[in-house]
Amino acid sequence: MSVFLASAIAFSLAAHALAQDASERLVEVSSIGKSRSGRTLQLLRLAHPEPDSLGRTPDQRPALLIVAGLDARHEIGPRVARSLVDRLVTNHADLLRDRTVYIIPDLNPDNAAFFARAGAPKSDFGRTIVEYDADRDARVNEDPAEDLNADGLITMMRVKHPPPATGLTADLIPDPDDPRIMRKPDPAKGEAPTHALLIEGLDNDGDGRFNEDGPHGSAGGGVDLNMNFPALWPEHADGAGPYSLSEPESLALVRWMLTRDNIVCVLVFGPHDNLLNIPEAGRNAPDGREPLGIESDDKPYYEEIARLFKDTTGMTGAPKGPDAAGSFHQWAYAHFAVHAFTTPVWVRPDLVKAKEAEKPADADADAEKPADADQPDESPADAIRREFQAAGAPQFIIDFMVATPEERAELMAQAQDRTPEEQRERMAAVMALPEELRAKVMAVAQGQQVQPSAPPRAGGRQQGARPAQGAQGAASRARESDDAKWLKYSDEQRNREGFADWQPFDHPQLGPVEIGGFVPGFRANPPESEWTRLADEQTAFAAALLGKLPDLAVELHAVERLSTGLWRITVRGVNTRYFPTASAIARKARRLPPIVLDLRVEQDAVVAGQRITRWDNIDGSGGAAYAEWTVAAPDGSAITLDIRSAALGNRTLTITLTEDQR
Amino acid sequence: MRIAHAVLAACTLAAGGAAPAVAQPHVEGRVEIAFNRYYTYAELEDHMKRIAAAYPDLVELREIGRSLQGRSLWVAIVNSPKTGPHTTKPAMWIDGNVHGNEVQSAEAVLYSLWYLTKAYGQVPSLTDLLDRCSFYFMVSVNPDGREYWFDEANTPHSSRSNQRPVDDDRDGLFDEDPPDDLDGDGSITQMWIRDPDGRWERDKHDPRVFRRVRDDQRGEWTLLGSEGIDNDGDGRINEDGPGGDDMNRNWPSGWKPSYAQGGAGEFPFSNPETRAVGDFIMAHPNIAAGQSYHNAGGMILRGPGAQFRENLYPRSDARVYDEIARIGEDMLSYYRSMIIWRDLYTVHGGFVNWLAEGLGIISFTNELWTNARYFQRDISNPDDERMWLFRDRLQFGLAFKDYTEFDHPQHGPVLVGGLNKWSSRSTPTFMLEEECHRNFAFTMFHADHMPLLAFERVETARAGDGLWTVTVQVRNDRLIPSRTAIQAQRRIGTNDLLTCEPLAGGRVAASGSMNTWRDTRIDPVPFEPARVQLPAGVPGRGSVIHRFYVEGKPGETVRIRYTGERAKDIETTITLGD
Repeated sequence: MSVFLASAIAFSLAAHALAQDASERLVEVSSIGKSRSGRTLQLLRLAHPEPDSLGRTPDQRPALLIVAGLDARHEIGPRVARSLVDRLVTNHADLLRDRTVYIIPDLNPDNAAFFARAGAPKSDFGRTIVEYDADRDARVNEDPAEDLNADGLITMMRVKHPPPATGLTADLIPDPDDPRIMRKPDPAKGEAPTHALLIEGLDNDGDGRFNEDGPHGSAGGGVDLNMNFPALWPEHADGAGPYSLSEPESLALVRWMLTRDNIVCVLVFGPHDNLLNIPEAGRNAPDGREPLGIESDDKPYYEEIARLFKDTTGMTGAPKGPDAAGSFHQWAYAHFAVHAFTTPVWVRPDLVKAKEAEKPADADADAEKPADADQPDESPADAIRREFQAAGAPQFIIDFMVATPEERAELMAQAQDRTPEEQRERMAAVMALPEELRAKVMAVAQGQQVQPSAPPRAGGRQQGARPAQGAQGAASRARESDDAKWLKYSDEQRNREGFADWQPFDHPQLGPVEIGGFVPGFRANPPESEWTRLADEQTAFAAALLGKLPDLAVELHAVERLSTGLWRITVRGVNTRYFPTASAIARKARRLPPIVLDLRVEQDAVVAGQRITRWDNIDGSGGAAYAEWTVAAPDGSAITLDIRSAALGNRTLTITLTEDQR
Repeated sequence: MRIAHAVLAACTLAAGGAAPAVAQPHVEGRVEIAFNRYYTYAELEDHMKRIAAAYPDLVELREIGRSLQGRSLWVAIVNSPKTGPHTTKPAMWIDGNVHGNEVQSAEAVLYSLWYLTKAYGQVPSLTDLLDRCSFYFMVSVNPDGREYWFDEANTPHSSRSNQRPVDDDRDGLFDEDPPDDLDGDGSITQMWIRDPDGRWERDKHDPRVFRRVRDDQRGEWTLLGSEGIDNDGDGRINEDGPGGDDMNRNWPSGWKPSYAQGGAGEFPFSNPETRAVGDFIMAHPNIAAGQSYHNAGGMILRGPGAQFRENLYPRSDARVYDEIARIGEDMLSYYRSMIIWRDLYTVHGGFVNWLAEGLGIISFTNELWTNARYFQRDISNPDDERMWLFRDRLQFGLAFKDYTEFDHPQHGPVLVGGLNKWSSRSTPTFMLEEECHRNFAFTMFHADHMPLLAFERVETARAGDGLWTVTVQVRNDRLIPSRTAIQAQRRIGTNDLLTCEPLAGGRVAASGSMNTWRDTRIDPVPFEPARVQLPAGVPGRGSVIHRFYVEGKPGETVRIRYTGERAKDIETTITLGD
């Protein structure tokens, strides 16, 4: 063995031991409760265990919570959630000094165990496993699906011209272009329905309905955890549960989260996407208060995180997924009142545009621009520069407008150090701009993206709002159904493993039928070869998200002696990161108190200012807030200021009343 | 002789046989309770235990959980076991006092438990009712709030919530600035301060009265607000008192978080009290009627709590509500039938809303006591002058605390006093029994209209060679259907079942429903003809007719059974033949 090789092995062993040690030290394994069948609902906490520079324990630091496995069909979620642990601890340990990551990798372990039992067919059933009379017939779980053709899968049955005695109605046809696909007939083309489509199985209870009550991939039974949370809970809907949080799993999660006020951001791996499909902003439920999507003032943050997500994962499109009513992420946002994101982690490859592939699309869009558009080759930054220069805006505004978000944060942080006169001057310069430009500056200052002004296009269509029409190929692709795209993917890239071809079967109750369809789980889960890539992508995204969690620095800004025994104290709080200390929904929901500054003096000693001062929010990227008191206190004495923040940690400042403190 | 007679009477009662006609309309009971006074929760518990001990056959006192502060939550299950276990009969849920300060609602439930148990075997109509139905009585859903109202200084309106600490003023501290009983009278009253710019003067003849001066006159007093000091030194008084969750906003149907519905709690059933009640009710699908007592206002309230949930009250259900409530208006003098969102205010996550909308149970909330009852004439809201007459001459001044001087740490010398916590909302004690009785009677009327099923007609006829028809009419003789329309529409609970079982093993070849007895054709059920599901049950004051085609020989017996969650199951047999 060469010396080089030996040392290389020794080095890698040491590195491995180091990583092992790190994960043991930084990862704490515990549980948030038990599933209905008594399985542990595992919680992994990633954090340096010792108190941080502010004395905060891991459960007192701003935290990101990652949850997966609510819908057990989404197997990739728990897998990636688990693989984040080592990756974050090994590669991003520095982030875990003053921040915490909680990972709940599998909220529905009963389901996995149910389908892991010997001989259980693979099935598209992601709900909880619970005794539930889905069809209200006083028999529980009596009509589950069956793997009739013993291929290890619960797929579908199609019945051609079902006789009336079966109670079935034909409403579909096999698509002539690809007869594997069942679709609605188009009467305009002279098509009439020929087939009924059912889940594979028997009518066990003889009630004329197939597979309507049972957990084996049936149409009914069980509770969908993503329909069981109280936000917009879809009362009475199949799968919603008898009441919200009826399931031990959803209840345990909510109860635990309500003991963790330090969770300031939530990321869900599951069938929903709200990163590439940003929820509707500014609309409320009929009660007039609860948002249907997100608050308008939170939208810029969702847009920025969407950009971050695209950058880190390369994913540019995703199906929106099921309705968000009753979902965990909707609750985490609208009731727990933090920014909550959700991604399916993996999507069909045609929805992931490679970076290079994006370019031609942009070129097409440019080519489509009408001839009278201003300088079509100009970059947005150049266009903004030109626009502001034309209006005579001072250079500092132009610099601000064309800066990258990071540069802008830096500029805004610098602005805090300017004298009040300078700040007023600069504000006046902004106010002097034409109204349209002024609005753009304000929007950018609030973290939004703006476009240079351009004459409205023909038909008022916004740039990039829709894919280009016209090209034959594109148009026909657009008409391709989702099923067709999945089949194409299965055929071309997955060796046809995604679809069980229709096979004739002699059904004991229905006579000749065909059994086949998409392999359960195929459309939700990637092949094993993709696991590493996806874990890396989501690690990068989680780490980036972690870098944006708000944090609060509070410092003594000024102590001024106004007279003997009369002092003016100014304290400044700065949010050093990207997210605001309180999201728009947090400010609306008021689940937690704001940042409270409690000056520990007698009420009578406060000559001016509020003894208890509240900071409702401090915007991120260097946003600051001030609190000022004039107090009567002996020269040289010390005053205690308690700063309370449920999310960002409590702390205390001791203020000594001596001259010229900064 | 007299003793012998009494013993005889006692034996008759104990045997549960028909009681001898009572000479006067007084119903003797084994437990004496005065209903011209109020009871602490401990006293209520004691009364319930005495009743349970005195009527062991009728009453099971069950602890269904503990309150946040560890008090037992009791449900008294009242049932006549000789007609079957309580779970086999339609049942009525009756509770009170979910709002801690709404005290008489607990006495109303206790009265109901007391009267019903003593009436059994003595009052024929109530005996009959208790033979058909069972009752779940919960005197107080919020014993912590009740005890806090009795033990601590309060107003008529305070201590509504539970005792879970909530940071009302959002300063990161909990319950740190409650009101303070500065004059030690057991109530939170008012504080007045002398003020040359004040707009009030004290009446020269009656110093209890502060009167607003005319615009051109000079006043002497200003109302500072309710009694208390600035405990936490933040410049505000009484801004963060104990408790916070309104437990009548903590139920899962239409639940909204606290920024959309004040007091909602952290999530539905987040409180031990509401969860215990919820678990009990969901474990008893035989509950077909509900009443939850509150104060005040003289209302018979039903849902929905919000306009956008009107669709959860299908027309046929709404008619049942209206018919019961209309008679209630006659039974409960000065009470009015109202819809919560339309006639009161919008409520999300209320208890009767959960019963009605989540579970499809015909349920009301009665708001006990109304100012119209002070004078019992056409004076619905007596003016202050009349009220002094009532307070002085009928309550002998007990609802008022004289003003006394107090040296307030923030305000200096102030006057403390005024109307105490008994001065409104709670029924004046001398009128309490009547209020309890009328409401008890209303709930018994409501309970009486829970589904009551019977086979109206069962007939068989030859339909072919070895084939017979068995035609069955099931009648519901009461207002409430065996499954409410919302249950059918929203698939709540288990469908009713009508089964036909040829005991000799014959086959039921077909079956179907008919509109009238004279129909010659059936509307066939396509599957399971011998086990017919009825999602809509049997309508109120109506019937269903169903015909089975049974294969068999003459003389063979067929068993017909109707089962439903909210009606007592019925069963009959018929012998095949002409």
